[in-house]
Amino acid sequence: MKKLINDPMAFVDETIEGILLARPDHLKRCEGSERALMRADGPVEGKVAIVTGGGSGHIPVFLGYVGPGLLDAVSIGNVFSSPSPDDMLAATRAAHGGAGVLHLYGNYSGDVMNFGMAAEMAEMEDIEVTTVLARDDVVSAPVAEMDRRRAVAGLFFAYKIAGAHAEEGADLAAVAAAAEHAAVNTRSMGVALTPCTIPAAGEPTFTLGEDEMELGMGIHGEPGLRRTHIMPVDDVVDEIMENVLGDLPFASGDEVAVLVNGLGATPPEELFLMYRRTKVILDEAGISVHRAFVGEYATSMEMAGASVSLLKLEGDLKRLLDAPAYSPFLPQWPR
Amino acid sequence: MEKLTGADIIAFLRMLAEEMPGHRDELRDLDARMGDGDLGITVSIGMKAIGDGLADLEGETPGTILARSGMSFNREAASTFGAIFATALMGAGKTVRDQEEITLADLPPMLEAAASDVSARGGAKPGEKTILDVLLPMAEALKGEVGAGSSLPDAARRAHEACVEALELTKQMEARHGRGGWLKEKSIGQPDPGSTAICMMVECFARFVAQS
Repeated sequence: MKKLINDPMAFVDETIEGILLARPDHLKRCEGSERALMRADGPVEGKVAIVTGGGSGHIPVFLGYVGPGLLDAVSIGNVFSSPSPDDMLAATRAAHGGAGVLHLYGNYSGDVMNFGMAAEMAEMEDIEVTTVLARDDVVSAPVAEMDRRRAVAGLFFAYKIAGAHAEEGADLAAVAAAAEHAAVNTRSMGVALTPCTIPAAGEPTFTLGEDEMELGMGIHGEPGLRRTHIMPVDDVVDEIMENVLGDLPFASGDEVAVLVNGLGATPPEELFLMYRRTKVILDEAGISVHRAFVGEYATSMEMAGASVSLLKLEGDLKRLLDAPAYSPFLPQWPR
Repeated sequence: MEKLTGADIIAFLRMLAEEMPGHRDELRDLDARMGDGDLGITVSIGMKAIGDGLADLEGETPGTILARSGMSFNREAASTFGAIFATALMGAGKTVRDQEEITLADLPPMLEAAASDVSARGGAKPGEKTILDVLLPMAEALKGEVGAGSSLPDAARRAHEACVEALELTKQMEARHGRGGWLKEKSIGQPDPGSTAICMMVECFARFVAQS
């Protein structure tokens, strides 16, 4: 393991300390938890609060999306492990501005069970909680079993859409509906080239040969579609887009937002190579791109690889996507 | 030993807290084939948290000690396994909430309550490669031991045998939940990692009641 760390067991807490020191005007701790952060100007009275959380190792997911026009608080677990219900409850309680709380996070069993416990505890304190899960990875289960799908970088779209609607003053049911609309309109698929190592584990969680890649692999190394000899990037994107476009299915005349996400060790140049091919395919399919995001939106520490996500824009989604938002962690954002 | 007092439960949990971290790498490697490889760390951290919390639980009933230990585990090592294990210990603990002692006859309902609460929390059913697939066979085996009038040490040994047999059967099951669920048919052939950890704990328990 070759990492710039101190004690592997202190990795998460020291990361949080560093972020708080770097962004004191942006984030603060939630009362009663060392593993929950919130908007420095929160709670925002009268606004629906959006609380997320999950395992560490994915920056800017999750805490990077806390900010105006985005999320209100986040609970932070160990690397690739769910936060505890206590930390989720602390985040929920601290962010609550009197208008209810949306729990919005990725569909992973540990997070679902622990957030479930936290939501029950919050309701005992008369905080109304609604839950929406991102589940965008097309490879993880058939479309008929969408509720079994895991979330990958497409979670970003649900954050952006829900955050914008909450900022407009929409009520909890409307914010949850917007989040769900974004979730069901998002499709993603990725590719992994090299694994990453959980600091406390010390060993990579999977191995890939020097000349191998795995199409469809999840952001924690979950199994994908197939393992193959390394291919030219255009061929990789062709296979990804075939799966993504066929799944919704996207059709000629659709308008989409595109997210090409890097997993951590893949350089921006390669992400733009991926976008280049993605745009050609969309043009050929008669699908127009309203906005393209290319960069690191959901990483997996030092994993090499990337994913492509499409959000089908309809109804309010375009307006909510374009609404202002701020977080210093976002590598690019429209002004 | 035929009865377990609060002090006995504390001694047993202390034994788990000392021994389970020794299985860290084995559980990590098993979980890396099925999930994301964090189970070894989860069990190590969670068991240490249980050990650290025991001093505050002296004088409590067995049920309270189990329930609060489950919460300690998941507070420090929150995860899929953490949530399931906490739910199981809380379910088992509440079954014997007001009792000062646990006997063999209490164990089947404790395991059944644990299984029922885990099922409610995670949505799993028997046969889907989760800890239900070792908890319920152990409950059945222990019911048999209760009926036969077995001693607690003999029953615990039989429960461990039943757990090992049931764990073997999980290899043939296709995972439906957690990260293993995304492996689909590729999950067949591997034992359920969570059930493997339970089996290790039951082995400790059998030794604990035999030596006391």
